[in-house]
Amino acid sequence: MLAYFVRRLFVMIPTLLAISAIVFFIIQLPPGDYLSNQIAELRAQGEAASMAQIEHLRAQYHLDKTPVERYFIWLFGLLRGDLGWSFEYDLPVNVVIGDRLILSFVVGFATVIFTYAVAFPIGIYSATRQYSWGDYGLTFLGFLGLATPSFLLALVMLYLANIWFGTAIGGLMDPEFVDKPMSWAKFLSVLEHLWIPVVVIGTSGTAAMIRRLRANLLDELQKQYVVTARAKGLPPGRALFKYPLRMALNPFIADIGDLLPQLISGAAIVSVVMSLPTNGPMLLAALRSQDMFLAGSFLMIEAVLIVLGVFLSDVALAALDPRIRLHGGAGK
Amino acid sequence: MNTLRYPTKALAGDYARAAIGVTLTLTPAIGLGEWSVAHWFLLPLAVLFAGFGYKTWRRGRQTITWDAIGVSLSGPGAARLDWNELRSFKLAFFSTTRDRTGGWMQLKLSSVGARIDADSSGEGFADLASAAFAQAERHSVSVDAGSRDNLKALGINATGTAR
Repeated sequence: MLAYFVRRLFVMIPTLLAISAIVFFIIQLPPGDYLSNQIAELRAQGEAASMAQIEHLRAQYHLDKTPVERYFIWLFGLLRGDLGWSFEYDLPVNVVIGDRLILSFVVGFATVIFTYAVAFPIGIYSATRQYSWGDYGLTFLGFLGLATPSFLLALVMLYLANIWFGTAIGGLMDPEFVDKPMSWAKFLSVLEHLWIPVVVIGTSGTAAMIRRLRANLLDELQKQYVVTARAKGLPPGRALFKYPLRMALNPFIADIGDLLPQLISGAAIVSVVMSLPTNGPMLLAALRSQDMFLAGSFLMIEAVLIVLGVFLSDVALAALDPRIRLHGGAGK
Repeated sequence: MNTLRYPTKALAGDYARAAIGVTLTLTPAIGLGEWSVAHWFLLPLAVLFAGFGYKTWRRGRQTITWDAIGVSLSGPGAARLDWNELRSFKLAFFSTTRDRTGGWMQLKLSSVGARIDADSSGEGFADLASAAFAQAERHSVSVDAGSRDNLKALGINATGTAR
């Protein structure tokens, strides 16, 4: 297992270096930079920008250096935990994204829990009672969830939550708690608002997971070892949970790679519609304004989470199911 | 007497991985100077790669021999296992690609007091796997379905019911 661990890690390091280079240079591709855009805006408004001041700012943010030099300055900054300076907010990136990262994680984590908590019992029920009324009803709901655009569901849910529960429209907390330190009242306000984005963001994922779990479990339940286990008198619960369900979960373990980045940046459009103070809208704004350190930091955090997620899922899969899929020869 | 050895050429890739891994993690860790958050993951990674290099070096000095009575590992971590004491047989496949078209196998044999591992990078691996499987069958040792699949991929007839 150590050899497997090391080989997978060995692939991760150059992957992350390559991603960091690609992220940095793609952000640099549009002509100009944040400062030159600001100067152009000031000039368009008839305000003169001091050349000395501009040169000072360029030197301060290393914009007078070559892209390659800037890349290495940025990379070593990342390694030190210094994510750079956000031009848009005029603050260190660590400070800008700190709170949002936590709120995004809370929304993402709650969504994952919701998705699994709803999809698993329904998927198992649908598979074990195939073609029953319950199965048909839940299948219909699943298709409805898959087909409804999240932003539309967001608008409907905001309206209903406001009419029925008096919840303020948009945001993750009541307006009086924004930019206030965490308190019990603020926590309760977050909880009161949290369920709406969680249901909106989680619905399509839940529906998809129900369909996949149902299909995978049906495949397993029809295999001979399950028939044999039942014929030998194994209790139905054990004949379901001991092996078939475990085997049906392999694709979900493989999905961990996609799950981790979604915890911090999923559902940007829904976040815009619902005015959620999460990372998605901030990343979009940073890319549009060429706030390169902010955008680059977001993208690198996502890349690290993707690579880490794929690594974790590969290790978990290797531990759970170390079977060869090749036939007729083993690769060394 | 049959023998499995790891030729230097077969281990060259692992030596290179260990060396490059240590270089890629230790160089920035030293270059950063004062203690920072990066040291918390760079230094453990450097230790891990160094450990992997040491394990590769050990493997390069090991020789596995087997006959009708048992299997022996000589060199670092020497061990001896008689077939009639065999308690566990496992042949696992570790894939380096998502579609599992590339990777390597690992054979783990154990008795109450001894354990012998062999990698498919060794010359004679298929012969060892075949001999060990035959002995496992003879001594009614449990061989799981995954191991049987992997034996078939090595070209070894592993029909029978997984236990």
